[in-house]
Amino acid sequence: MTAPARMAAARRRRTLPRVVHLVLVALLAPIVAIGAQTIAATAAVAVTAQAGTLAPVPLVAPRGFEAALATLLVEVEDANRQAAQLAQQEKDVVAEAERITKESAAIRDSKAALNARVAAMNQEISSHNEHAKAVDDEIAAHNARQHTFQMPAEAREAAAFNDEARQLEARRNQENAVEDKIQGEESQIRQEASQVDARSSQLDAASKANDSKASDLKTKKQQLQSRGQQLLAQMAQAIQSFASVPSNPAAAMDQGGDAPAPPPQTGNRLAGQDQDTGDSPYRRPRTAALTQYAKQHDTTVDTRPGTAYLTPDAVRRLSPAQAATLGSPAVTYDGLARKPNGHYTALRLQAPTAAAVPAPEVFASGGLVAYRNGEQLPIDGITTIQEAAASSESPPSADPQAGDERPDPEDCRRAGKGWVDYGKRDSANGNRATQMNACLDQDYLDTHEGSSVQQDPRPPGYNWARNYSRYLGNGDPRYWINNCHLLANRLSGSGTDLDNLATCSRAANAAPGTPKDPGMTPHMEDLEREVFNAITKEDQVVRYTVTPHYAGNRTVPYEFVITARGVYRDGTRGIDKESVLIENKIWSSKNSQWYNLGRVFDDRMKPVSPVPTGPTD
Amino acid sequence: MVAGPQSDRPHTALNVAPSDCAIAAGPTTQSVFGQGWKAFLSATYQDAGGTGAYTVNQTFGVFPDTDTAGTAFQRLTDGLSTCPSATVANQSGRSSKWAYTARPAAENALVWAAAQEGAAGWACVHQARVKGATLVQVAVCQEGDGTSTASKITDELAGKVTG
Repeated sequence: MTAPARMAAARRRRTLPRVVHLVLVALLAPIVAIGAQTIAATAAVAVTAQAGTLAPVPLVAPRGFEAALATLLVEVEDANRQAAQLAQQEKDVVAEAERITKESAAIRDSKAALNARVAAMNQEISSHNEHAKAVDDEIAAHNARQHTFQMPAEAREAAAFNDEARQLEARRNQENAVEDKIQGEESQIRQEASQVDARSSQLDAASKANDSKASDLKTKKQQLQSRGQQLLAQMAQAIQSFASVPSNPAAAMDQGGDAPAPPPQTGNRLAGQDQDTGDSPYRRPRTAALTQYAKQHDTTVDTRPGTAYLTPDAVRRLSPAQAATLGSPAVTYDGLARKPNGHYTALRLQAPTAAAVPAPEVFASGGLVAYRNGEQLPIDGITTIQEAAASSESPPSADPQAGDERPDPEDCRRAGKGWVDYGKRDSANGNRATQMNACLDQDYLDTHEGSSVQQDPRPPGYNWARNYSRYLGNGDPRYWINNCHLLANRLSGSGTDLDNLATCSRAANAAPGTPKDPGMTPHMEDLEREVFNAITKEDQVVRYTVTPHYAGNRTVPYEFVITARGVYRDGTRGIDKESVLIENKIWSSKNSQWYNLGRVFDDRMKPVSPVPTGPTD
Repeated sequence: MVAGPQSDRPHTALNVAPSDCAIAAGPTTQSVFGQGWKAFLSATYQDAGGTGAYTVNQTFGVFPDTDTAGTAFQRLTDGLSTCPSATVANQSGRSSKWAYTARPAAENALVWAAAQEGAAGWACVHQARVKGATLVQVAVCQEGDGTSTASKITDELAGKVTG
């Protein structure tokens, strides 16, 4: 009789926990690595974003200089092209960094899913091992029992033994099938983990490459910022060199050619700029705001809009980051307020309904100049002031008073009395007169007598001007050069106090003294007469200022700015002359053209230089 | 406008590149008027503010006879036709580039414009007319189109030329 075969034990997955553990280690390691990549990618975004805020804004070559600055313009265009390329590269780097971050997150999710599957499988393995061990134990017990039977006596026991063997075999096979399934899943997990590792490695390389690009980009940007600053300085230099020497379009035409476009100057704007420089009704809200500023600060304001430029030195003093915020060394303004030191504050108007558009901060710290007929006007800072409530955008009205937002006229008298204040003479520049401020009424004129000028004293530059007038081919200088009162004799002004005297042309002062002098309209005497009549015939109280403007350190003014605001006794507005400019020009009988005494370059002097200056007479 | 410089003889040719643009760039110079004129006057006027916003030139050149005047006019016509643009340097070393556009020529009359490159609409409109033995030229330089102004001035001037 053949004995039933002994049963083999069920297979158990003893090694599976280790394998799973190894898988876990293999999976966890890249997760840590991906975390680092995520940080690197985020850093790349941060770096480029920060660099982006410092990217140079497009440079704008100053208008009117393009033809003369062709080479500079080419460089500006090239720099702008590079800036555009860098901006595109920056976008690419940021996009790549974002892609890496997303991919990194996807890999992290894949690994988390894999780990979840590993954990589930480990539970399955534990369960399987328990079942397999139980089967093994039962098989061992089965095999340990007597398995030799006497037949037929023990036929029933043999059959039962074999039945048990078959059942155990079935259970063993079942457990083995479970193990096969686990093996398959394990293999699948290993394969997927390998793929995730590969993706992880690729991502790591891409992240490093992108960081390298970002770093390279940052370096290029810094170089471009530096170049941009150099170009700004070159622009400023070019502006200074061109604007400081007045162009002479009439001379160009006289030579037989075409008169070139004038350079940008204060009160002389080129195409595309505000041409409305007159005191039209349309400009009144603007003028009113500027006038109010003048009144509040007890100064005069040149209400002509213009453009101010950073000096080359000021551009060089900027940090690269500051320079990068500038597209041009130029900033527009709506008026210039004169300061006691002879410098100016540029005034920018802000419409009531408009959002504030401040000038770039770098302009506020000074280093600015405006140019007028070749003369530099130093500007110490920029102030933004609110325009009057009636917007400057309002169309011109048929009623000349409509939209007039000027402040109500006020009685300027102190304790009911008129007054006159002369500005302190400028001892640093030949003791030239600086300003006359007055509040005049009938009573004041009745009690304060003026005086005519004398042979002595004479204001600075007087003798030079007489000599220069002769050089211009004019005859007796008495008819061409005057010793000008700031406050006229008839308005109680002194003819011997140098605080009140400045060298001027006869044409600027009064009607011509000789038929050879074509004269100018208006001249100072025209305005003085109007003020005198307003006071003596209409009983007005008149706030009156006369300010000579000088070019640099010259002692002969190039213009007089006169403001007269009157008020009748009933409080209504009277005479109203706002910042009337009288240019200090003299006619040349020899050359048949005008020359500004405060601006001429006396070509008799070697080298040719502005005259007179300092203590010259 | 106020009176500016005047000249009683044409100036020498301008410093121009290319050099064969001397006529287009300097239409009232010797390049056009030569030496054979009998009387010459160039008067320039500018805006009263002296800003250079407007500059006007009026030039008369009187020749011994109509043929010589016609030759000068023809020289001007030919010079303009061969020069689309030029760079002109003035005495202070500044240079400016100009593009020249001639309008269709009428008999004894010529109209052209010189537009300064990069100067945002700045142009000098020229008119030249030959009347008898006199060549009259008017130029109006300003931002924008000065054609009508130049025409009026030219009509006025040419009307005063006799013979």
